[in-house]
Amino acid sequence: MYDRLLEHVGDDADQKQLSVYLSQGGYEGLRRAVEVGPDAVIEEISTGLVRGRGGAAYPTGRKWGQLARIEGDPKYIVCNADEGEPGTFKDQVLLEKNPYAVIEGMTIAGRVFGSPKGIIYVRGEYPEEFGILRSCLQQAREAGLLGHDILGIEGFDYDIDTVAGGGAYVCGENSAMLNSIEGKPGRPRIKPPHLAEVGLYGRPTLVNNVESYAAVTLVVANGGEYYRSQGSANGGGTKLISICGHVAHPGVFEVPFGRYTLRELIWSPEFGGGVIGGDFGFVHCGGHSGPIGFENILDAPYDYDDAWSGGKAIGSGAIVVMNDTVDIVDYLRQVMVFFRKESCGKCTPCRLGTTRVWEVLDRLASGRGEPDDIQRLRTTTEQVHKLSACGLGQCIDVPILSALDGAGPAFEAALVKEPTRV
Amino acid sequence: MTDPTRDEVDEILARWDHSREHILSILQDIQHVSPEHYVSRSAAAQVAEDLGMTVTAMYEIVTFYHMLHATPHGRHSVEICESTPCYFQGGDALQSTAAERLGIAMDEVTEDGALCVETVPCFGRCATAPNVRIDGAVHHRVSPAVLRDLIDRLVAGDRADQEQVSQHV
Ligand SMILES: Cc1cc2nc3c(=O)[nH]c(=O)nc-3n(C[C@H](O)[C@H](O)[C@H](O)COP(=O)(O)O)c2cc1C
Ligand code: SF4
Ligand code: FES
Repeated sequence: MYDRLLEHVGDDADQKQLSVYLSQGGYEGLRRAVEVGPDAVIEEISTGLVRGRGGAAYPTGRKWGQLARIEGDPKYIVCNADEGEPGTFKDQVLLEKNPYAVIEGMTIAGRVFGSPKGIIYVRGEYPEEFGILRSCLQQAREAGLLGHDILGIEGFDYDIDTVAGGGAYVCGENSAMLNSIEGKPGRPRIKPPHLAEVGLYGRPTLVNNVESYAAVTLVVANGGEYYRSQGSANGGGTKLISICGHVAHPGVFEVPFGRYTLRELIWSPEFGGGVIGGDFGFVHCGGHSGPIGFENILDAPYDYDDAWSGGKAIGSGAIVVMNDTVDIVDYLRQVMVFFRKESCGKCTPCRLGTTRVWEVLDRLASGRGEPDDIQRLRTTTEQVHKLSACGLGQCIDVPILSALDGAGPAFEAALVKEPTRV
Repeated sequence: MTDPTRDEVDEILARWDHSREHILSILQDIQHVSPEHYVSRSAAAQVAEDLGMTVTAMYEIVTFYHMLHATPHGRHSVEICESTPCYFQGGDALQSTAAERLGIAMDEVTEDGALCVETVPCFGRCATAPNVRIDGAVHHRVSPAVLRDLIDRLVAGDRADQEQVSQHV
């Protein structure tokens, strides 16, 4: 049985064929899940130290354990394939190169929770991946791996459908995603109640990221102890990362937690291959809502709970490298262009605050900064962080404060810059 | 220029099992067959009725999701990625290139309805930045000169199409 998400996949192997997946040991995880039963599967995931790969790093075993303890029928299984953090494309590659590992993980969840139905929510900008999944699901159905009496087991009935998004980053937030699946505008819900209690159509619901389900497949097939041994003390197994920006070899790589430093990931010929177009400037890790680091953090190990970011640097797996021709203030302004457009507008601090923060950055970037703008940037950001209802508004402080802390003089310099435009 | 017919909308609804869960796919497919890539009032009303929703609820959806449009959106679309990996590897210059070539601002439709130029967030092709999506097809490592050329070809192609349409009328 393979023990990596992508490493065993040959360049020309057609992973969209179920037969290819089966020849690699595919569906051994599901067989084992049936054999050992729900409690042991959840135990195995906890032992494997799997943490959610969608950004928040919540322990997957704990999430599954909570849902298992909740009464309610039916329970729904939802897969978050809305991959919208800028600079992140690892779920896309996983869905192209190992789609059945995701489907198998969702089927294991179906078995564990006795669920009738799973849904994969695929971002609207990924029509190819949507098509791949539909074809794979159909092949699984025809092979008796979805539908009625799966694996010939009487009463093991479970199917998976795909739902396409419509272009809205906030739908990656799990409660917004459920609203979107229900055919409503994808605005987040106020929590609690948690989705494990009141989820899709008001039913107990599990939401995990694409890569998290694939990790579950690996854990159950290879055992939790083994999976854990492949990673670090903070997180078991491997992580898919997407390195891009000013590097020689942008792309998706699979790395064990804790084994490499950011410096190695950016410069090693095995990974990013070094900075191009100038010297290293800074690195933005984990997506737009992740931290920005400068020279002094490059020796931090790429791991959860690292000393630099407390694990926030993992996030979505994005590593965006910028060379020293890019001004950090310009960069942050462009980050805020994203958040202000994607704010769903449900809560005022986020709706207005993201625009206020963008305005300050726009002034600073174009040499029109006002004397107290740096303080204003900090306080407005902190207010948006404290008063927003969902992770979108709550996390804008992460890139901004990390940049302010790491490159204060650049902001001071922006204050005395000549205006570049009116 | 005609909107999708009732039959076309019915066929799309059937393709998605008349399921509200698939409303975004239904509306995207409608836009796809609409020559100016938007959800017309009549189509919105037909879908609303079929799915047992109000027209207001339908418009709430059409206006919430960036990929859906409630007004004519141009016969062709040019979408320039504005997220940081693309923007700082040449994507910034592509915005001004497109605006200058067409004499419109970002997110506007040309007066003749031929095309719309938009900035869009990352669509996951960051390894080949800067990226531009033209009528749904992704073009990688686009330079200003290449974009100018692509736009010129779109405009010329559209003109030829329009002439053919008017000859048939
Ligand atoms: C604004 C926002 C956007 C998000 N986008 C995504 C996303 O695109 N993909 C994803 O897996 N999780 C995303 N998340 C995190 C999810 O809400 C959720 O934590 C995750 O799907 C849980 O799965 P996991 O525990 O397997 O990571 C987002 C969260 C927020 C607040
Ligand atoms: S924090 Fe922003 S995105 Fe989240 S619910 Fe509030 S307004 Fe919407
Ligand atoms: S940043 Fe442009 S496609 Fe990802």
